[in-house]
Amino acid sequence: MRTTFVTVLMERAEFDNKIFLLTPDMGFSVFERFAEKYPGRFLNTGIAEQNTIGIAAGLALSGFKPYVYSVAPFSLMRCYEQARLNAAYMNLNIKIVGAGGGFAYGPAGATHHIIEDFAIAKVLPNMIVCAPADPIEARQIFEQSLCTKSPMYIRLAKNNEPLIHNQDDIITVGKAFRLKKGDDIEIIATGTITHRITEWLPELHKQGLSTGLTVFPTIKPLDVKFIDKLIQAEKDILIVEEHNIIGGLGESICAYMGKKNAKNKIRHLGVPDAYSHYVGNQQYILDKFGLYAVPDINKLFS
Amino acid sequence: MRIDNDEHISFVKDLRKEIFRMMHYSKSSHIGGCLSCIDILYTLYFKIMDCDKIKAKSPDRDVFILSKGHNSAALYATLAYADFFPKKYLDKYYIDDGILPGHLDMTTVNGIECSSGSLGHGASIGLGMAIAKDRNKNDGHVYVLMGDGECNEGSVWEAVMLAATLKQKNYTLIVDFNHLQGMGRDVIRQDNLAERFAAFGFKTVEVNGHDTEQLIPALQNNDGPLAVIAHTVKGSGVSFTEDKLEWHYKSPNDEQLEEALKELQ
Repeated sequence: MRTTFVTVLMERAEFDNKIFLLTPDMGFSVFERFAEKYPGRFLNTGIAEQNTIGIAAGLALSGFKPYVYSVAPFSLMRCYEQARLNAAYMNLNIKIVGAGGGFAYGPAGATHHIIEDFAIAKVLPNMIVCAPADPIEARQIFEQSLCTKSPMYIRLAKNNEPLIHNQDDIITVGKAFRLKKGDDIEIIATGTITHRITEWLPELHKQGLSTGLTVFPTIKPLDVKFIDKLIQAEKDILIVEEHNIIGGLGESICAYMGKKNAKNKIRHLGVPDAYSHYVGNQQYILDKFGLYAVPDINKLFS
Repeated sequence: MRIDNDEHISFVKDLRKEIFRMMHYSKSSHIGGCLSCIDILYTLYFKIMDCDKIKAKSPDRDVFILSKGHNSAALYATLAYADFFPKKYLDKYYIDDGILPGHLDMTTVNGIECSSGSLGHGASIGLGMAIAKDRNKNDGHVYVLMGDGECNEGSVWEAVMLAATLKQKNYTLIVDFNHLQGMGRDVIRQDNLAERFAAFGFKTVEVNGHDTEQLIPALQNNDGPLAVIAHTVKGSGVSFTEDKLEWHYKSPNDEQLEEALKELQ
């Protein structure tokens, strides 16, 4: 996804001379080709995230389209008040890109995990929040990000994420995408954990459960039209996200369904409001938090 | 400290009166900081900057950012007198159905370059605008006004480090050095502020921040990155507000307004 990000920027920067890439000294071996080709629209601001968002604001006020890239806890949280005032409050065209979403940097430890980003990003007025599940989603989200002046937070993982989409799938910011139809329950997921869920489906099928899977590449604005359809069908829903159980996609969906007096049974799997003190890769940590092994659906919904 | 230059006195006195009037009817705070920076604002808008209401959107304009956004009343008065928006808006400060909020909101009136109110943001935003001017080959200089208390914020020094690294010529930081912050004097040692900027790689100049004749040459210098340490007195221009911490918080009552207006005749 990091490669997809810089590839899209490279392609578009040729025609769009307002694209500007900023990094607080993060992106070794990723950004060199951009920096070499467009030195006038690249700046390594040093390890100083607050200043980086402020610089982005100054650039955006001057007509540029700045993309700020770092590891997610630093590109969004370290400079959160700058994101609040300089991106969201001033409603500036600043795109904050956070790598290492969830536990992507697993063994690095909790300083480099992020399980709070959806919560703190979505609560900012004006902010669009996306979490692509694979490079196909990432490409289309970045292409569309160039067409909106709204501030955005985009959570990435690392590189070489497996594909969950066909090459010709059309992803739209703000819209859910149904990957598989199913009659019994609908799983809703966002971000790279979605790939793991595609691996659950054959197993659930063997258990006799016809399971649908829909991916939400956008956390905010929420695709309420899609949820309306689920409400109408009174389908059981399982929401899975690599985020704190508090404040993420699941809470957004539940809050909306509550307002609509939905009759659906809803279950929600996420990180149980805890930091990881486990040492291991993403898969290992997800497993420790009950987000990797195929869940016992019957038990969950009983 | 008195205002040395007769030529500018009556104009800046009018701005001071305006600030007093606004603080009085709105019962709002921060008169001290408004009075300590008003000579700097006057000098920038009337003697230095190439920017007016027509040029306010030009990419080649000079840019001013009030990073110490709590002193918005000083900027509003200056902008209104510089004809960026009607003077009658000054009657709509900090009140219900108002136009001008206590801290700057760029969506309100012409001439506000960016919203501010949280300290330590303006230096970075201004640097971003200065970099944009460079990269777009636009004319114009960027001036950012901060408080000495604001220099407690680490983000200020993040911007200073980068500006020095980039040798950002079109960038001037002005410190309204009035020696009084939220809870008093010397909360954080600041007497070596100029040396600090110099150590980071800035050119520095120290001036009397109430003396237009000293401010003009300092602010005419377009060979930044430059830090202008403007020594000022909080509450300057009115005897009973000068160098008194309480005027960071109090608003003048009827008698105090009358007395201040009399002093500013």
